[in-house]
Amino acid sequence: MTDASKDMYLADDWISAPIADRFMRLAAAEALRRHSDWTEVVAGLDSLAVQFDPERTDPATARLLFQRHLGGVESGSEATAKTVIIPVCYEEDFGPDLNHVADMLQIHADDIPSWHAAQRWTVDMLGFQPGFAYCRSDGDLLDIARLDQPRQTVPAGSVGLLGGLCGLYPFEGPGGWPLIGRTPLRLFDPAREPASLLAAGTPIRFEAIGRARFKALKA
Amino acid sequence: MHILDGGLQTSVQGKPMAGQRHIALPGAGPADPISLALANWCVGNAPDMAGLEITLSAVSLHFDHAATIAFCGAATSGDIDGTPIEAGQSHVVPAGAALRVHGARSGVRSYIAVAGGFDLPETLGGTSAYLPAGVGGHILRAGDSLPLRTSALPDQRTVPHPYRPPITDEVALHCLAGPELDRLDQGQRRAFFSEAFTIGQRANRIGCELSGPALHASPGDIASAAVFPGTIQAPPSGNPFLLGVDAQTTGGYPRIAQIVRADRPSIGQLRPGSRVRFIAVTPARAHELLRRKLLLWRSLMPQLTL
Repeated sequence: MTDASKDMYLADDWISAPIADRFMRLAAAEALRRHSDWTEVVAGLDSLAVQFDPERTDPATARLLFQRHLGGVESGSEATAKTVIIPVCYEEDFGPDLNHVADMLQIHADDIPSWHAAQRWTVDMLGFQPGFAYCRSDGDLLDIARLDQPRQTVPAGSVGLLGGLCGLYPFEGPGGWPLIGRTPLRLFDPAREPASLLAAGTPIRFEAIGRARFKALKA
Repeated sequence: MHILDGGLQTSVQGKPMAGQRHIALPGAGPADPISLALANWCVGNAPDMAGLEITLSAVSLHFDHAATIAFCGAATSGDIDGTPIEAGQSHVVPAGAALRVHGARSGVRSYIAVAGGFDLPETLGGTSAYLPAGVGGHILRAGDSLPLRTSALPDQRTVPHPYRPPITDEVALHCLAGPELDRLDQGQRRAFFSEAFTIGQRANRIGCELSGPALHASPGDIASAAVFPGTIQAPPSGNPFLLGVDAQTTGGYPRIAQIVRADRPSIGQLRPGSRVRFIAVTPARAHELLRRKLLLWRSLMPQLTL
């Protein structure tokens, strides 16, 4: 059960509800995706939204259905998805903000890879770019500030830290997250099933690799 | 078919990629699906068959084989090898001829439909290009070619007059209160629903910046949450931002309003300098507006969905 019904937001073709508990939110997202009433199910960082086909369902009915479906969700207390290992090369040209982040974490830049690998991460939501994962650590993370000047071009595969989150860029584009490394993995490939390597709820571990291994995996 | 001049921004847009927002992939699709459907109707295609979406400026295309084409939307005129043609009706382009669609005097986007459509694969259930990530296609430029499906030449068709809504640069859009509307104070809320806003220079398929009474939400950000085409955000700049078909799927700015589904096709025709007013409605009223709009358009195009 969730406490969401009283703060629900209703539009003419979508509804959202605050669900602060991560496990409850992800369990609800997974459960609602199985109902054909919802054309889209989008998890936010503390909310869950669904879109419906207004020709099949009027807003008032959709609200009742959403309430009923959320009410039937049992919280999965532990992530059930398989852990995905993300190889990351932390060379300085891949992680131009390593020193900046190390200063904020009050550790040495050389220790960032082992620090990053030691955390247990879970994908909280996808957003910003197709397949862009916002990952939260189980441990307490320091609030890492956005770059004063966002970069015009962040290369695909870049790994950044912001706030208490770690983000992975599937596509080249502008970005303001301090960058610590780069993964050779293709995070999003429309020809692959599933297209996105990561989904909300996926547990992640990072693994440090050298430049040679990066090149080999990239090829 | 070959692109001789793609103008400002030309892309293939048809059926949106549905059901992918949880992996942060918006559906893309035509910014003005009604104009695409009308162009398709002229050449005997299904309403959501992929066509070319062109933006503001003129484009020209070369056809290796004879084809039946039509264009609808912001552009009103064109030519085939210099012979003038009009929007809203089908034309035969002879083999080896060049089709030009002229620039738009009001509105932004026009759609060129070709009888039979393009012979392109689907991407994630859609036939549309999401340009920010190059998923499903990219911006078409001079030198690009698109394969056409062979099709019997259909009968000549002209869109009847009641189905030719003028595209103007003064628009009223119905909208619902957004989830964070209460982060504006009472005066700002009143200003939002009573004053006109002007579309700024930042206007594309991702969205348009609105200038008018400054709106400062307090607190100024939210934990990232779902947004949809037609969501209006209130970023710290004070200029609200209206999201379009290519907008990202989540955002961290307060969501102050949501344009109703029935009016979202109009967002695709807002150009820098267009004036827009917002009319508050309830979800039930929005539902009724969509029902009526579909009833009207389906009397011409029974398969249309919005």
